[in-house]
Amino acid sequence: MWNPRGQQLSWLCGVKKRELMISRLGSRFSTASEVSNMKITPPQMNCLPGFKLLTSLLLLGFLGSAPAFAVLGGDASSVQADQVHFRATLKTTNVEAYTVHEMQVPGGPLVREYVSLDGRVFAVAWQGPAHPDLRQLFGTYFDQYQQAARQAHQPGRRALDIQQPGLIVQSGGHMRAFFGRAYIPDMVPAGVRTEDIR
Amino acid sequence: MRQAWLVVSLASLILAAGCGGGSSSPPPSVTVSLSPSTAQSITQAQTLNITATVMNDSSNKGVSWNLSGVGSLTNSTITSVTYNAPATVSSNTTVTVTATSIASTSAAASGSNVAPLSVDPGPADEYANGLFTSVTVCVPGSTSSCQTIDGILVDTGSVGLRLLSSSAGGALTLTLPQLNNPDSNPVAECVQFADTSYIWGPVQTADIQIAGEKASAVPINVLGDPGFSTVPLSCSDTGGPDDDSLLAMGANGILGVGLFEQDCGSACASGTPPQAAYYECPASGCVAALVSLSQQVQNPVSLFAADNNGVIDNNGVIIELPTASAPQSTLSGSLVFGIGTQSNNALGGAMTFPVDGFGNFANPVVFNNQSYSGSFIDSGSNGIYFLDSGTTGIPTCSDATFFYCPGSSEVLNATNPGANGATSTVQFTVGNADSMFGNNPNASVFPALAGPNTGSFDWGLPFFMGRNVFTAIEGKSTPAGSGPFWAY
Repeated sequence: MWNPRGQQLSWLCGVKKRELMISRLGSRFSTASEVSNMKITPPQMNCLPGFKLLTSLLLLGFLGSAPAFAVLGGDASSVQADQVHFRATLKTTNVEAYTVHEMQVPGGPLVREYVSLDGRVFAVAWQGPAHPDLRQLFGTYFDQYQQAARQAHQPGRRALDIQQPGLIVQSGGHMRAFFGRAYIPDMVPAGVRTEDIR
Repeated sequence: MRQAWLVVSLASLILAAGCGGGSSSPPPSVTVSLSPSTAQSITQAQTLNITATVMNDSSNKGVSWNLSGVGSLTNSTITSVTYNAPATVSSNTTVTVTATSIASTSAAASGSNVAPLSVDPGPADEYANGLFTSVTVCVPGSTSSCQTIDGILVDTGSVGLRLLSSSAGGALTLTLPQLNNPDSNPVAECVQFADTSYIWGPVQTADIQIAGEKASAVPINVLGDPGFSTVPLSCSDTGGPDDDSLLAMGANGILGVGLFEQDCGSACASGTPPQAAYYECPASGCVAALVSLSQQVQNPVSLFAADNNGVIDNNGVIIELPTASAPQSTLSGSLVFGIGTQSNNALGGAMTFPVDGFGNFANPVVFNNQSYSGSFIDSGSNGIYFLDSGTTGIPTCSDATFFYCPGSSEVLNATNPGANGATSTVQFTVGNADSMFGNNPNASVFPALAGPNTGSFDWGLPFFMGRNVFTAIEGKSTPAGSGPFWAY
């Protein structure tokens, strides 16, 4: 886990913080398959048209710390920036089919989030001295990844390569230089090469 | 248009068979001769066949080939290779093809700076391409409170000695002194791996002895220690499995003999304390903390003391493994300490490969005319892990997507980046992991085991088979300059 104050400084649409808390907690306690079957109208947001948010609304109370990153498969606006408290370098690159938001976490990895034109985080990638907090970054996909990572595990230091129809997770490297990426194949915009996700 | 010429100069090198200090007489000299034996001029797009004859090569190891300059090497065997000039050359240029003998090393390497290596299934009887050795640890200052532990994985991709405690299924039963930081709080560490798995445990100190080499009061990492049973969330929240057990780790510990002096370095000594690295653990619980360089887990090699002759073998290691041409049950080799410090650890004709501050090749590895940065050599990886199915066209196994399963074995070439533009062509084989495992149930050595590694090359243990691979430690001087670098 990187510094929980590591936060993205750009967003595509604004979200009220309390609603954001609920959506993150909700996604933590549901499985990926439940979530994908639920199309919940999000709380009132100032968003781009055609916006979709995959989440479940279990009202479980308030989490103490703000989420640090956009959630894989979720909405790019699921991050509330906290510019006053956190210094981060941010680079945003727009290409034709998507936007890349890049953030360097102090003492941690560089994280990239790939957001499609309709506002969904279809991929994340990282590199640095440690893997990021994947429980936060993968959102509702964390359980699926964790189960696959544990099943795949055999002795022998090697790269991770999870290939499931709804989720690809790959990681590798060595002490001082790790890398990884995850993407949802169905959400990758047409014409985008997966080699560009890194 | 006038064509430019290439001069192909030929060099042959003897890889010194070690004969340090033993009572037996040294073996007859291995010599290499090449045909053609003098420099050849060829034009662009031409090829040149070169053969090597090795005398007194009792184990028929032959040679390995290196290219310095433009063009490529193909069809390489242990006695021959074809040099291919580029299609166009703008001006006359010289390239050098070097043949280096791979003399039998496991029998020849001997001395107080040599520890035996074994590729075998390991203490959990399940490892493929696991490289193991034994390490002796003592309570600092004691000669009686000691333990010799075998089944320790030798890992050039990490730094530091890590031992699994007996309560977690490992072998360590000694109670070692806990390392406390200047605030008198115990220091502990989380270490992640490439596949997002992790290990956790306290930093304690031990005297370490391997072969005749000794290091005193070295900070090491003890895993599965019952006194540190709560893993901080910041450590486990990558989500990968906890490797603090014999079955998960497949070893009684890890001997990290990589490129650096400490496992983390300055990033953990100043600035923002990295999460999932070092912690201090007062009674209220472990929190991420900075740790000074000297209190971090150390590369034991860099702390080796001088021997009785004043020789210090602390600037790096050599892993010497013979060739394996097919799956086999075990393989024996040598872990030699020191680079250019004794008669049995000279660089000889080895080419050096610069590395960056992250422990990767300083320049990209080239494969199929594409460049792949972030590539590295790592004895702790148990296969050649490179790229992905989409890029290579090699399918992964249906039951194990972390291995390749081609329809039939493929022999491929890639080029490693040496110093000053020199290049080294590496030929490697990708076998079908399912059939290799299925057809060889008693084997633990798999020279053609390979799998994906997105975007770069991880030259794991098969790369070491049939080579002497040097790992030079940062800041330590060697006859080829200061580490960090690899050489082979």
